[in-house]
Amino acid sequence: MRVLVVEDDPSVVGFLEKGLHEASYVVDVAVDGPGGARSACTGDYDVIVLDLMLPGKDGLGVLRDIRERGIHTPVICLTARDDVDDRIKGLDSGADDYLAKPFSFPELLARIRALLRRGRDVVDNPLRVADLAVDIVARSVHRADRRIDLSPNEYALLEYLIRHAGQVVSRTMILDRVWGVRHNPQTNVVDVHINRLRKKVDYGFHPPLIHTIRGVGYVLRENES
Amino acid sequence: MSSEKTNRRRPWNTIRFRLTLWGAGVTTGVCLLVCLIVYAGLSWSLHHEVDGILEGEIQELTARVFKEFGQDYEAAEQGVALELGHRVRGDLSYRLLNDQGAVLLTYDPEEQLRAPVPHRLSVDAEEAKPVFETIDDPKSAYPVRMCTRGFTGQDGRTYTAQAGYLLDRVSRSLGTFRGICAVALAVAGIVAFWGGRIVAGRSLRPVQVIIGKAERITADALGERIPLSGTGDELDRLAETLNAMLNRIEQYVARLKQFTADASHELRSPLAALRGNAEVVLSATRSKDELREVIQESIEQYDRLGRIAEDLLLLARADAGELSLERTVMQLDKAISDVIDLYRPLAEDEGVELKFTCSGPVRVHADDARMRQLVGNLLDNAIKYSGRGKSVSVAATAENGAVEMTVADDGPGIPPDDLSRVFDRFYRVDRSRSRQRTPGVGLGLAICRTIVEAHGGSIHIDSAPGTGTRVTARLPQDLTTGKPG
Repeated sequence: MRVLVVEDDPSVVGFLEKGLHEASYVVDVAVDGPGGARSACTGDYDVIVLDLMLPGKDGLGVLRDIRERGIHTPVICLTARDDVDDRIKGLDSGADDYLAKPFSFPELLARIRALLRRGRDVVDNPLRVADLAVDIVARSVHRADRRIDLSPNEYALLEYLIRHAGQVVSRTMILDRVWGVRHNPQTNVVDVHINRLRKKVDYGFHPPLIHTIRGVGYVLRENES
Repeated sequence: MSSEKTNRRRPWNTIRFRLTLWGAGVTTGVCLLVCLIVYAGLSWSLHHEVDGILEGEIQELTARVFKEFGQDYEAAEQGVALELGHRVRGDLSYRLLNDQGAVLLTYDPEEQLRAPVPHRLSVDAEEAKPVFETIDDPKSAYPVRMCTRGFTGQDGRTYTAQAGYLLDRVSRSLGTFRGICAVALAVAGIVAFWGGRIVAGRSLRPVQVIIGKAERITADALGERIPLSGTGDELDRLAETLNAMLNRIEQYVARLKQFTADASHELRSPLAALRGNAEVVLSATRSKDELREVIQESIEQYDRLGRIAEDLLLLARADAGELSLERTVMQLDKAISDVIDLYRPLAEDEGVELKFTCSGPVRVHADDARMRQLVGNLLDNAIKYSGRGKSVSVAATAENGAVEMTVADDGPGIPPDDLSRVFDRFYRVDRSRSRQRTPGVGLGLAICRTIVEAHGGSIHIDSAPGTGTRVTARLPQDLTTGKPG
């Protein structure tokens, strides 16, 4: 999978390049608007990560350029301007997703994966991790063939985690996708929900499946590390 | 800067000078008007008197000429000369003309009858009124008043008689009067100017006091107030207004200082922790687990900083009027129950009961995400501050085009001193307690107010120690302008 990063800030480029490389992506970098537009049009990329504040030509201009040339590579916009107007403008100009700085890196990875998966999001039902099975049609949960009763909120949270099994999801993503809350609550309410879910899904079973990645978020997977 | 301004101020730019000038101007103007009226009256009465004399003389002389001298104009001329020549003032001149305009007799020792023979009087002589005119002569210092009148002689023919009178005395009287007036006006003007100066100076002295006091009040010395004279006059009211303004400025400055201190504290603490942790961990060889621990802690501090930055940005945008809202017609009750679902486990852990009452769907034209943030912040506070065994009730109603949402708890309440400041940025009611118990930084309610006001609504808080706290947010429902969404 090839990713084009269009970003002029060397410190951001540094961790994006390293992190994406470690997540097994092939990364190319363009450091200004015209260079980004050129690379996007000549190279064959699976995803473009585009900063909106660029020297030479701003990100929205680059975006319009490459869309006018018939290039439909998914684009994630990065910006320090987290404004509704900017977000709408970005999406209207042909962006597929939008991430405000500062963002959590696992969230960027998750969004890239979501874009790559789009259109071919066919999943087996029920979803399984180890001996946990979640039937997303019947909305029922079983572990080691024992039925587990969950509240609607707990079920929604578990379904979100198992749909992203093996991927670290941040609290921000959980809040947004499960409760439609886009701000950061003053208290870490997500932790409380995760703990309740753990009591039902993990207590009395082995191995534990819901893991906390401190400072980052949570992941549902079989092995510890 | 202010003293520079004072130095540059010219005396004619002062209110005192302008008041003085206006006073003197008006006084002098009134005096001038009085002088003009008196002068006109005097002039009229003097001329009227002269005209009376002339009319009397012309009648008397003409009658004598006709009666005593008949048609003998030479004898008549001598008679007239004899008569007029004996007078103390020999300045009355006289002449008689026939209906052809020929001069029949003349007495004119001072050569006053310079005027040409007047127009022939065509009107019936008996009814002819005397005609008066003043004739200026460049060669003479004074004008001459002329009276012309027609008579019917004993022969039935029409004659014209003219008498002239030198206006020297009238002119001198009027001249003297003008001189007196000029002196009087000058004196009145000067007296009015100086008097006005003194009066204006006295009445403006409190202003000088206010200026002097105000100049001493700076951002660092906002405690001073302008003294009141106690008379309740306009200047007293001005001083009161200025004092009230100073009170408000003092409060704002105090809040600004508090905000700056709080903001730097809240931003510096996580920065210090970040830097300190990194430095400590670099100062020796650490195990992998230790490094992991430090990095995880760093991310938590970054998150904390990021949240503060996000909140401050939201507030700053709203201050600048640039907070953009994604308004749709949304279901507020749905948003509230979602957020309550999110907070219910937290409330249960804290031993707080959460209740939501709502009569039916409450629709409002608002930004869904911001509404959820509003409800979340209010719930967060209510749960944290009410305490174990208490309950928090949320209610939403729509009535008369307005939506009202209340979040009420029966916790310990807020002391009255703190109540007016809970919406201030970084303000926390009990700093020592909240520091350990809550990770918030005291921006929650400030953000609530910003969100509500950005929607054109209002928010207020009622609380008393022991009875609990109730926050009420009112928003315009505004369903007609929004498209269903």
